Amino acid sequence: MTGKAGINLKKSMNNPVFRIAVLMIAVGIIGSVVMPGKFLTEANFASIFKQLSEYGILALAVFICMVSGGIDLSVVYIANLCAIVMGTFLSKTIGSGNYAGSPALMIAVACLSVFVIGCICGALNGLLVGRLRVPAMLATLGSGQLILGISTVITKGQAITGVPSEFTKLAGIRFWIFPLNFFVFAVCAVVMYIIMTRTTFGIRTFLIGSNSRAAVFSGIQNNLDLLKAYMISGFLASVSGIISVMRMSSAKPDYGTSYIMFSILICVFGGTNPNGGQGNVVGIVLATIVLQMVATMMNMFHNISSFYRDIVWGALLLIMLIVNYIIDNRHVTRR
Amino acid sequence: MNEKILSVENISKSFGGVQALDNVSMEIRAGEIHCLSGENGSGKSTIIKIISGYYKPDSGKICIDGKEYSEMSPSESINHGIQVIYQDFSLFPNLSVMENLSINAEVARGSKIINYKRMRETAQQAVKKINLKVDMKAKVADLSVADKQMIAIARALVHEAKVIIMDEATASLTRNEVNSLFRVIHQLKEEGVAIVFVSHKLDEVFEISDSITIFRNGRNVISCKASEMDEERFSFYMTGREIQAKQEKPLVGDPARIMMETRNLTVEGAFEDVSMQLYKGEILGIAGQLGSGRTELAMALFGMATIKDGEILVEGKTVNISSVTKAKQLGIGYVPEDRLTEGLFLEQSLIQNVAVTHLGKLSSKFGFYNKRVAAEETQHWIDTLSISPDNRNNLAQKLSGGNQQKVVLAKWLACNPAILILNGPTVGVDIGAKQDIYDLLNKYASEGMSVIIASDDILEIKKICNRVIIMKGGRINAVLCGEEITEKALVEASV
Repeated sequence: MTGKAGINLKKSMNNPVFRIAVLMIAVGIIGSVVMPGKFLTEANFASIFKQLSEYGILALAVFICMVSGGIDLSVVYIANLCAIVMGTFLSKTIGSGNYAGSPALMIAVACLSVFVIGCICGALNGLLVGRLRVPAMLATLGSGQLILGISTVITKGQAITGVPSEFTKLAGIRFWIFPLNFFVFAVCAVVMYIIMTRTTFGIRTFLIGSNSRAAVFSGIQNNLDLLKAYMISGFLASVSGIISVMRMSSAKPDYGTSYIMFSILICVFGGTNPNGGQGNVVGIVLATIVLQMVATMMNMFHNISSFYRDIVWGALLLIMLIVNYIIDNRHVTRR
Repeated sequence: MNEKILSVENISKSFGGVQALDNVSMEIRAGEIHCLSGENGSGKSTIIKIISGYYKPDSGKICIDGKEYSEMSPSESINHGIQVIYQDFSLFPNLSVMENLSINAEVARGSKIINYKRMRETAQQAVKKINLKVDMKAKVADLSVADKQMIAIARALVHEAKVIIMDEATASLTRNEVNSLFRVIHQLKEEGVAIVFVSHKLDEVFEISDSITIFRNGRNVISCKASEMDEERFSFYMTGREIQAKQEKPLVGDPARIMMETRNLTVEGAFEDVSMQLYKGEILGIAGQLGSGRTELAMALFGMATIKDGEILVEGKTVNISSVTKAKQLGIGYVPEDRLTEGLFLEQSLIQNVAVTHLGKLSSKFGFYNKRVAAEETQHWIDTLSISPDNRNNLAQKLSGGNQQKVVLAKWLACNPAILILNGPTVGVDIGAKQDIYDLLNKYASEGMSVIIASDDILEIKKICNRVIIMKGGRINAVLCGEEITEKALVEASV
């Protein structure tokens, strides 16, 4: 009886989603034991859900590229460019009373234009990776730098501030412990889940990531699907940019650069194979929540300096890669 | 009889519940060519890896030079003069011939500074032993497969090898190259080196071996002298079932209905001026040695090459097959030469592997993928092609070579192509699965599918093709038909 349960548990542990769910409960328990009455509170979780949306969406953007066998290192810079354009546009129109129609219409127009910018940036990456076969890491590193440069020129290196409150007040909308930001993340996650598991494009993306050469030999047009994947990535980055300018009511070219590392950490934590072909949106969502819980916990210890945080995140990523390596190789018997 | 040089006794080895070797014994004598045969997964590779010290046996012992070991380390194995030449040769493609030949000896010597003079001498001695003429400065990546193999053999000789184990040595060699390999093997035998020749190619086994050992399901089912074995018994021991050597007549197509035609087709650097026709319902062979343009022609017909000149017609209409997608729309399927890198998605399920070619058909008009239909369809193909194990959720990497090849076949049959091109359809496929694949092709061709087989396996071509195009040096050298197709004629036209 116990033996059977043991085997099932072992099998389940091979499932990354199950693993991360166990980890989530563990972090919750540790949090409530170490900080009784402070960690498992409504207010604390409200703040957790408020902060995680931006990089949760960025992680989804990195995720689709990673599944296709590549990576997108430019997502944060795309998000920042979009935030800057959004902020500038709104302060020049609503902010200075210089607009036609209603503020809501202006916000909608701004969102649409920013979506287009995100898709264009993604298309650039997609062409480099799909058509010109540039290694994704280099292509997106280069395009990220280029986009950072464009943002710097637009803002002359300054931060954009004074974003009209008609827009930023939306960030305050809250349903119980879930802020509007989180709903945006949730919608993105659900849509991505459907795309990746229920559409032929999603299946093809997994197959390209699994063996791009076999995909060509099977009649898949890799360059088209990679273009789409990177455009979706760029689009998600623009969504992240919009909610970041909404929450911070400011934007600058090099905001949140550590989010790149964080998004990759989430992907790997959530069970995405860095070599492509495997991954799961549910894992990404759970990993995002777990990591924000850990971050919040670290913030609560006032004696842990924020200087140590990079050490923690870097170490976590490496540990996770090592754990994955061990799990992948466990059934391969060596001497 | 010569002295016993290496033997294994009652070796067992299991991997996580799977018994790979079950109480296996065999012995190898000096100056003997010993063939080790068995279907994929019969334990051939496992015993080699135990002898070479890569795996540790669960029980049993290894005897070398009269000493007994319950396990070996790789360095002990090498010190006892055991050398394994793996299928991929384990050479360094980016290094020169000289460096490849001598680097192991140089590393073993343990000196920190490289002595190029000594390395050159080591390398020259090694090639002299097998009378190999090769440019010492050439990069190994630029050599032909046959030369790479010779380099691997020469490297084994650097270490004073007493036993050389060759794993599927002839898998990617042409007949000519096999002949020269056999000459070298005979020469080594004269010098008292024992050769363990791992192969499941029947003709080669009978041609070269002194003794034969056959494994099935991790057991040694027979060890005997080659003279005591015949083809029927060989097949029986390999598969455990009687395979009637069916001598069916190859299908004759309908010359009045030309499915595909090329006119003066030229692909730069591969072949030129190729004009050929494919009839409805026939199995057309494209034979020829490596580099004859055989593979390239097959790929060009599937839109994988840039056509310089000439035209391709499908059912009488000139077409521009510029991509695989285009080829697919025209009803052409293609089973590639290397199923691992070109055919399969190893870490995906069989469902995904079969569905990949026709995802559009498996989804609603909004592009939503219908998992249930895909799964049922895969099950249908698993049953039709008797793929085992028959679990559609298995990952492709868990299947044996023959079953993997059936999966690649299934993904194209599922598209119901009018023309199916197969490039080396039974490379690395065991006898049982081979026959299954031939039967399938015959069945579909008799129902009207037109099949092209590009292969360097002359017996295969002879067995199932009624017409054969023989390529040589990038041109069609001969077209043989019906009774004209004999082994002799095929060899003569291709060399």
